[in-house]
Amino acid sequence: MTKVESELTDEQLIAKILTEDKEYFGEIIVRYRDKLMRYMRRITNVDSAGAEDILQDAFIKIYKNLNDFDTELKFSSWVYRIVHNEVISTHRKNTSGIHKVSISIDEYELQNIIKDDFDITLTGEARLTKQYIQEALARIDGKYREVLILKYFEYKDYKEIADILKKPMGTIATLLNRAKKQLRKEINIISKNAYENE
Amino acid sequence: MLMKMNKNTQSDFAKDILQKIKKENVVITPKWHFALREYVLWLLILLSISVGAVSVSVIILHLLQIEIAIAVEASGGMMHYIAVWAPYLWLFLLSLFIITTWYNFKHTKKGYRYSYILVVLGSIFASFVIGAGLYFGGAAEHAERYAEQVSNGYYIGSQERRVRIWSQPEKGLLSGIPLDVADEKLESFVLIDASGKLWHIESEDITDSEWASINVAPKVGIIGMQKSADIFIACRIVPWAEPGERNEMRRQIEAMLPEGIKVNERNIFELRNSICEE
Repeated sequence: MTKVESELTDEQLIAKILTEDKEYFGEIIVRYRDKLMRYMRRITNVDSAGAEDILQDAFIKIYKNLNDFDTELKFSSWVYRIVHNEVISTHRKNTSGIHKVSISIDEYELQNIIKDDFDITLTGEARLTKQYIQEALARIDGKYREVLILKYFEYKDYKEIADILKKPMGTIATLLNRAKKQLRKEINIISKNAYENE
Repeated sequence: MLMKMNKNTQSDFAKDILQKIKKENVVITPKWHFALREYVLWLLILLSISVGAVSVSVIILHLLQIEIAIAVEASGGMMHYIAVWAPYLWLFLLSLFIITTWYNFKHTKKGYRYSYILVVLGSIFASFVIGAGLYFGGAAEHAERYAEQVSNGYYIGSQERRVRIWSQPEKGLLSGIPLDVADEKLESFVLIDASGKLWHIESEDITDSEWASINVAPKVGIIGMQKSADIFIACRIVPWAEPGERNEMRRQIEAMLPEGIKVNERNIFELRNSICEE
């Protein structure tokens, strides 16, 4: 990868792939691999090898369908959508569904969740709060977990989430509201149980 | 735990994919393929809305042509009327093609941005607006004729439904063609019904304009009472006119009446009930 390539926008890179050289696709892969791998690990319980396979298939799909990319969307939204669909179809084949995920949260993400409108107060140790949120996230419905992950872990706005999940923005707002309620409820149950067990 | 990939691993991963692309000869799908898919979807949407609109035009025809108040009363209530006389085929087609419109729209490139309710309501609105236009353009009659042809007699059109509703002498409804009617109002006349049966109609109680309508309209509906097997006492006579023919027929009836007498002494086309007033 040259310095020039890394300075190009996604859209400029796509134009180059379509008109000049297919090798530019390598830069797209490098740019998105980590982000997509992290996203996949958050929405599914697949192991590293499985995740790599899914991601490889997703990138090939992205390559094949480059001409289908709608420039009105963010390229990242389109890429996330393909990966999301790939994960779903892989799980359908394996009939295991998206569940029992293990979501790691770093300090920045923890603060991002807490300072939002979750009404979570850090009464105990931050470590415990983090643990409660992790457990609660693993327990809530998959459709709610998905929107929360995109909003608080992938930092996507409403429009991007709507474009990734292919749902109207109004539906995303409703899903997020319900997701927050369910998460709050689960956190309360988990913390109450923990308090009673002490 | 999620591991941050180092640059070398990332490059290797990218190289592997690029190699796989080359090895398996994966090609970028041409733009026209996606454009064609989108065109086909929009074509299907247009087709669905069109069929929905034709269905709406026939439903309008049924609503305007059949004297609903009479039909409801003769059927013994609204629920019975709907169960027996509702244009189910067209209601089914309208529902089916609203669903098809929604399904195809949802699969267009930007279809997901709109809520299901909005798409369904939009589809219903489009079907009604275009359907009303088609009705005034005469498409409903064509659609009914076509349905009658292809159904091999199983489909009963609005004309036939209207005849059937008006062929219940035991319920006070009779229709047919008046035979040899004199210009001057008489106490009776002969009518031939849809089955070819001749009826002796006692017409003492009908108005001048109703008598005039027997002369003008090629066919009439009669509200009254069956007296015997072939005698019917008329208390109201309704000219058998298509919605578009009513104004012209009204003008012709008025022309037959003495000067100054208007047809609207009792609206001869609009019926509220099938009860003979004393």
